[in-house]
Amino acid sequence: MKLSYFPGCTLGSTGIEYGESTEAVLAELGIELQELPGWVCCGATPAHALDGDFSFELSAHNLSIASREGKDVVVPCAACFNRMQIAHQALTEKGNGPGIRVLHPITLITEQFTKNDLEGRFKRTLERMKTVAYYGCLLVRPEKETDFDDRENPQCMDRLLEWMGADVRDWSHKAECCGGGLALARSDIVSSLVKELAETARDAGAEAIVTACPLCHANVDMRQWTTVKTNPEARNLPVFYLTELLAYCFGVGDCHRWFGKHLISCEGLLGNAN
Amino acid sequence: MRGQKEIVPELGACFQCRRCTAGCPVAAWADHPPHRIVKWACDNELDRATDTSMVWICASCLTCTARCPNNVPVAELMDVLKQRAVRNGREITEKDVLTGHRAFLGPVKRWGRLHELTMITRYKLKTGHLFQDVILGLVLFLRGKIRIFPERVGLPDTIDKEND
Repeated sequence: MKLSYFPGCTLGSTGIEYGESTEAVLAELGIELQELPGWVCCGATPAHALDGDFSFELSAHNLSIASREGKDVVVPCAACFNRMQIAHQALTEKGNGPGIRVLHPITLITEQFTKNDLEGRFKRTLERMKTVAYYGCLLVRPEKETDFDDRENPQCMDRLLEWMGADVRDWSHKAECCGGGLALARSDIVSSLVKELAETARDAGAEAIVTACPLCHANVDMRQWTTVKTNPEARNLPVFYLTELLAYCFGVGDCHRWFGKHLISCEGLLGNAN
Repeated sequence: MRGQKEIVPELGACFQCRRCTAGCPVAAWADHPPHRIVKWACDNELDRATDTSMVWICASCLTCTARCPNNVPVAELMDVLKQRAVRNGREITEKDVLTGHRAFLGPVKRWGRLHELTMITRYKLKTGHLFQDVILGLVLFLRGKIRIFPERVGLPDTIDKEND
């Protein structure tokens, strides 16, 4: 199966674990990815905050490239996915739809493969690692445009993690904001939101948080690391990208190199010694 | 995209149930809560609504718009008011947030893609927070998560970059 690929600006840098693991996982599943030629930044939050037309034009341009390539486009980054879906909807309403779909890897995988298909390819499982699935904001809101999952209690990542052998905990904060683009200018707010995410995840019994958004990963990983724990007994929770764990289960890619790039170590989990 | 002319008329549906404020992750840090900003904008007190820290602290999480029983575009109003603040030269209390957005967009407009190193350098020089997260930045760099050189693909001429 051949699909177009839109990595976005972070999957080669701050989200490099996400980029490499997504590519390894989709290759393992027999999906050939062709990066969109000349793709541009989606503008994320800053573009729509300061200039709505500019934000739309960035995504409309990317969609026109995808349309020309004639294949659905895989978009792993939650922000890029969000902006492209919003532009897709706006273009379609004007009768100018790009004629191709914007696919998040989770949607792609769950549409194309059954539980049995995936289980058949697993060389390892997550061995009942206690996890919570963190969707964040941009995958699930606005619900109609993103067309991804329920906006208050999404389940698709929870289900995949269960198939992968995790002990998935129900969690109050699965679609709560990490502070997003306030990472630079108001890192105090982000730190506070991350503290609440980590505390409620621990309350749910989690040993790890699993996400599919590069900014959520950065915020929850980095701000647990930079802030002093108010309760010294409380362990910082490692944050994994879903695709890192999928690659781990498939036995592809260099998982431990990716885990080594996180700030919060995953020692004691997934076969790592304490 | 929808601007002030399209968004403001939709605010009249608000009946001040405060569900937006209840779900807002950042309201605790703002000078005024989202539902009050909606009321002021609806009552044509646009400067009062614009001159708040709330419009800048808004994280665009869209919880407010998603949960509003009357489909009031609360988060979109925050964007409209940010743009109004810049356009009308209003006093901005959260200058670092605006600086952060502009630092991100600089490389995007110039090279067509974000370059984190340029963004961070621009941000630090403009805000004066030279040593903020310096150790974090160093650790990220040593772990290969910061690109040294930008990828320059450029934006097509068809995209108008001029408004801010």
